[in-house]
Amino acid sequence: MKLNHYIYIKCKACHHNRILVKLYKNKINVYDVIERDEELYLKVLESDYERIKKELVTAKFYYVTDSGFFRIKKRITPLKIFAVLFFLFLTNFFSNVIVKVNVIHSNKEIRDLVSKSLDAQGIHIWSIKKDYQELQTIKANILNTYKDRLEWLEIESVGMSYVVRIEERIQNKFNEENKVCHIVASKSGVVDSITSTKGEIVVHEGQYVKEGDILISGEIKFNEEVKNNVCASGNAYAEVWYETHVSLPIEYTTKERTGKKRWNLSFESESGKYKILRSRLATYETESKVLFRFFNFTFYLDTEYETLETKNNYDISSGTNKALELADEKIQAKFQEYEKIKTRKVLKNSTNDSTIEVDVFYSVIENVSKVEEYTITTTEEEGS
Amino acid sequence: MHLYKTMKNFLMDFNYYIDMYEEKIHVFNYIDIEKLTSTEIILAMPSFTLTLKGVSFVVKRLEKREILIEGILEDVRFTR
Repeated sequence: MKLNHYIYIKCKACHHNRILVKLYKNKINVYDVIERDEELYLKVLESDYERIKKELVTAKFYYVTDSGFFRIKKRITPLKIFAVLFFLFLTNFFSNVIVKVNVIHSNKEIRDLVSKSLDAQGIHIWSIKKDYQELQTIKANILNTYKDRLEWLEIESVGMSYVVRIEERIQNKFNEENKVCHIVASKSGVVDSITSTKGEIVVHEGQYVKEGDILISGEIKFNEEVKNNVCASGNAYAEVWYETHVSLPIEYTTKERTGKKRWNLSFESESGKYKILRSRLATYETESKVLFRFFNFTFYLDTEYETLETKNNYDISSGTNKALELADEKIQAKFQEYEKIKTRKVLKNSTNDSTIEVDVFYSVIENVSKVEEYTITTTEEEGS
Repeated sequence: MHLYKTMKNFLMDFNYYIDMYEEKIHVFNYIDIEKLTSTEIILAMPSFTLTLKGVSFVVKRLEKREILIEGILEDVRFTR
C-alpha cells in the first residue's frame, strides 16, 4: 500500500478565497486550510506542489513542512535511533545491576557473616540481579550453613539494591538444663510488684531491696531444705529514684508558616543531603518527596514553606514547665513495657543570664530483674 | 441483486448530500463553486443552486467532489 505524501505549503499576501477557487478550477485537492497571521496554509499532495507553482503564477507558494508519517520519517535520523537504542540498553543494564547490598541487623558480627556468605554466593556490588529461584536457593544455603545463628532471612530487591533482613536465633543460655540462676535486683528500690514463672519469690511488695539482692530464687526449698535448683525467671518491678538536671535557654524561637512556598531540588548521598538550587527564601521549612534513585543517589523534589520566626523569652513558670516536659521525655526514653513515672518533684529552679536551671526528682516504677547464674554447693554430709 | 445495488451505491456514490453541524457545513457531490467569499458561498448542485449566507466563512477542505466550510451560517437558499 502506497502512502500519500502530503505537505503543507504557505501562500503569502494572496487572496485566500480566490486561491481556493483557482485550485478547485485546476482540479487540485486541498485537504486542510489554515489561516494564520494573514497567511494561508494549505495541505496538498506533494505531487501537486509543482503543478500549483506552475498554474497559479500570480501567487507565491512556499514549502513549509511534511505531514503525518513523512514528517516523522524526516525527523528520525540514524543517530537518533542509535541514541534511543543505547538509552534502552543502559536502562535495561542498570535496572538489572546491584549497586548496594544493605544487610540490616544490629549485630555487626551477624552482618559481616551474612555479607560474606552473600558475596560467596554471587550477591555483591556490580553483580547482576538473581531470579526468584536463585534467591530462594541462596537463602536456603545461608540458613542451612548458619542454622545455629540465623532464624530467618529475607532478600528484597529495592530499585538497584538488595535489602537483606535477618532474624538472629536467640538461645537462652540460662534456660539450658544444667544452668541454675536467681533473679536479682539490678538497682536498689522498693518492690512494687513481682511475678515468677519459675523459682521462688523471696521478697514481698513494699520491701526495700539493695542492688544484687535475690528477688526470685532458683533454689526450691521445703522445710528450709533445698530440694531442687532451677533457672528462675520472672519480672520484678520496683520504685527507684532519679535526680535529673535540665538546662534550658531563656530565649526560644517559634516558627509560623506564611503560606508562601517555593520548589527546589535536592539529592542525598552517603555523605549527606545537598540542595541543587539555591533557596530563594530566607527562613523556611522543607518537605521532601522522592523523585527517583540513581546508584547511591536519591533525588528529591522539595517544597520550601516560608516561615516567620518570632523570638520569645520563658518566664520562670513557663520555663520550668518546659523543662519538666524535656525531663519527662529524657526519663521515658529508657522505659520498657509496664514502666512508668510514679511521682516527680521540682527540687530547684533558678535563672541566670541566659538559661533556666531545673533540678527534678523522679520516682519511677522500673523493671529491676536481672538473671544471675550460681553454682550448686554440696556438703560432704549431704553426700554421705 | 440487492447486494449488487448496495455495493454500487457504496463505491459509486453520486448522490449529493449537505450536512450541517454547529459552525460547519459539509457538502458532498457538488458540481461547481460559483462564488466563494467570507459572507456568501454559491455552489452549483446537480439539480439546483445552493446559496449559503453567513459570517466568517472559511474553507477547511476542498476536494473535487466535497467541500467543508467553517463559519456562522445565517441563511440557506435552494434555487432551481
